[in-house]
Amino acid sequence: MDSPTKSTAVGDVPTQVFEKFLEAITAAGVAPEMVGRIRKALLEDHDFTEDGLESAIFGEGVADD
Amino acid sequence: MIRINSIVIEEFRGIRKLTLDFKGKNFAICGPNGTGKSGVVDALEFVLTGNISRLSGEGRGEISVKQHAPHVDKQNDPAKARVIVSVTIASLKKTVSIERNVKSPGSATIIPNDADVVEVLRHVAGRPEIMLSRRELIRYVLATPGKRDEEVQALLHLDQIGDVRTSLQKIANALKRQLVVLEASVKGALENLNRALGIGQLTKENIFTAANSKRALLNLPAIAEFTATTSLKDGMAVPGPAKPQAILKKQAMADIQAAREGLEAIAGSETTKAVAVVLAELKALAADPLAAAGVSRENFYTIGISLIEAEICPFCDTKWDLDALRTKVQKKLEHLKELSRKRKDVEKKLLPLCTAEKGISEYAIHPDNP
Repeated sequence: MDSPTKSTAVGDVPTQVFEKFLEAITAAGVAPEMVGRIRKALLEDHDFTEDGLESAIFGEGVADD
Repeated sequence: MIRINSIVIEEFRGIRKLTLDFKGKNFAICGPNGTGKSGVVDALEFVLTGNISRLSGEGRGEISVKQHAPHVDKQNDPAKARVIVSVTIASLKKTVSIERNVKSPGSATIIPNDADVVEVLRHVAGRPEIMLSRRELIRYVLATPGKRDEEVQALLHLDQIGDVRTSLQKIANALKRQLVVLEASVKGALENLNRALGIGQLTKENIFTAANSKRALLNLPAIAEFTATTSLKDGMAVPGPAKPQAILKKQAMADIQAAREGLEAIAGSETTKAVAVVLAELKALAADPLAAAGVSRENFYTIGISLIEAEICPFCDTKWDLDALRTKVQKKLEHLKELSRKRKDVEKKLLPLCTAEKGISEYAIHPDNP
């Protein structure tokens, strides 16, 4: 059996928490496209930065104030 | 969830050979320092994950699992350092045997090697909290209540979630600040709308009443319902850019024909002759010095002749011959009258020529106004 890496292990704790979070926001009525973008940022790109999450929430065309 | 039934440890850490039967229950090990208590915990972590966290990671220097996990007598033969564990997977109702040696820590022999079994064991290996060191436990116990969540996050490798939470909180705070500005903007816009419509409270009925009364003045139909695209100005004529005035082809052709006829008439021999005559007379008039004096000089002589009564000039007292002076002035007056007659004659001849030219100008197409 191969030893899985911390961040990509099947069902590691952060992944489970993020999955629960995505399920919760889906149930709360958040648009599926936005949920898809957040899922990609958190689970595929592992991008937890403010800019990354802002892009995921508002799309690439987020306005700078 | 898995339960450990038994473990067999051979040539591992300080243990030569040890078999423990946990019977699937809680198990405690106690004994003096250096008797191998931690070795049992290391063996358990190693067989489940292929790693010993106490011997790897940051700050461990040159210590490695491969060199330091085997018993000191078997450091050159890591294949002999092995651990076999028997576990029961409650969810699958299966009892599984796992064997792993230090020579090949990345691969384990799993019996039965079923896909669902492998999946559960991968899941277990991904849970860092299955093995907590004494230091980690003490740090958690000593943590103040406000910091305990951070310690739990550190134990479970949840720092990623902490980062996400911090980022989301920052985004939420920024949006709250924007919301205050936008709410003020909306409030101002609503107040302006109320004032413009002259209504006290912004309700659909009030808007309809105020807007429809003004629309009625403009003969526009009343608005009965709001949609996403409804405008209170719906139906009002929007002034567009001025369109160039259309020219009727028939009219244009008639104008062109008239202009052509006019030009032909002007170019004719009669007109040319008439122009030549008028020009000659104008030249003759221009050559006469009295012609430029015009009407004012004629009036002057008329008044002057009436003043010639005495034999002395009333201005300079010079003597003059009364009859000779009167005759001289009379001649000048007659000459002026002759000039006036000629001028009127030329003007009379000029009039039809000017009229013909003016007619052509009206038909001609001006370059700035096609």
